[in-house]
Amino acid sequence: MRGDVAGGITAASPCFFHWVTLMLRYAVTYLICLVGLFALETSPWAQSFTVGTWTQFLADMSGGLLQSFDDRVVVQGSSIVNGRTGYAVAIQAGCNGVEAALILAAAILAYPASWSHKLLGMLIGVVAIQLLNVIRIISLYYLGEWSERILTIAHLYVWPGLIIFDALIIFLVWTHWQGVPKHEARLS
Amino acid sequence: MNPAIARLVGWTLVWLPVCFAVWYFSAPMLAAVMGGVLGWLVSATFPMPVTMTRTGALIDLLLQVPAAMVNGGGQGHMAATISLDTLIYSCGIPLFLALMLALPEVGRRWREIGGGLLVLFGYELVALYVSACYNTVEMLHMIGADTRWLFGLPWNPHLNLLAQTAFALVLPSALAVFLWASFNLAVLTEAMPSARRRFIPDE
Repeated sequence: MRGDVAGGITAASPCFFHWVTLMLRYAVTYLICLVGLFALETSPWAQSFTVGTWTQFLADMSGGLLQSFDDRVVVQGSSIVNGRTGYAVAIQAGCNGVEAALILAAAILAYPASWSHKLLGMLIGVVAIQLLNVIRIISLYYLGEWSERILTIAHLYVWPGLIIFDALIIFLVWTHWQGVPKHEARLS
Repeated sequence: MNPAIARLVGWTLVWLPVCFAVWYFSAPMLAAVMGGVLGWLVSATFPMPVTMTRTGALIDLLLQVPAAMVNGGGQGHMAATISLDTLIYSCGIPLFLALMLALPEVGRRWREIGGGLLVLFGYELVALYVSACYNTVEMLHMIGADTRWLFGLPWNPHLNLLAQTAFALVLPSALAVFLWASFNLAVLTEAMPSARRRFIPDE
């Protein structure tokens, strides 16, 4: 109904302020988690892991997948190179899907759910985001070979939105799943 | 998957290419407006002469850095250019529009869509200004200038990286989702059994 803020609650409902308090608590907890996670992620030791180890792992994984159907592909450091033409895409900080994973992790951490559900949600969420990120890297490799302009559009403007949209869907599916009683979840 | 979520995903993916095309091809017009305001802001607050040029959605700030600011400097000026791609800071706009259009009763929600767009335009301007600041501070640090005087902040690699990560990487897209969620708390709470249970006290 128009005028409802949620589930039949209007500004005149007796439980309106309770609802507002719960929502505000969630928003504040979310912001604290988000800022904390990003402060941690940009610290020097976390950078050496995310930029170094994780980015290298992503390059190896994406390159390995590409090599399974394209024998021109060579992985050199964190770059995926076309061994015949010399064309290369370098995976750098900001391309490793860590930021989207942190946005999702903060949303799950702040949500009022059991810790086991939160951990499972974060684990599956991070894996799903990274899988999409590997698809993103592979798509950018081929788009870049085709056209540098299209690579720029896809890399800087299209994929960031799609990755965040993916995080939103995972969060919505998780909140739905973890709220369904166990016997219903088993039946479905 | 919950039918409400499936419907949202489906319609968002239908609307996204349309919204993206409209945003992409109208970006130079938006950049002209943003560039005008940014040029004024930068001229008013940067402690050095700045000239601004725009090509499509790209804004270049030409800074005339007094040589005296740099260690071992002397008379005259050094020229440095800071390039800003306005599209990076506004790429959440098509996602916000697609998410809003994907929900039912969109015809009654133009005020929310307009309000959201105003917030995203405001964010774009703030992000462009912040990026101009941290790029300038970083450039001055690299050429050996004393950066303690600029914007009241010393150059700090952690702070610089945090600003870049937040303003150029995370917020452009994430803000679109945050705005959409804040406009649709009722829809979200209705669609999620756990949200109903946890956020609606009487249930």
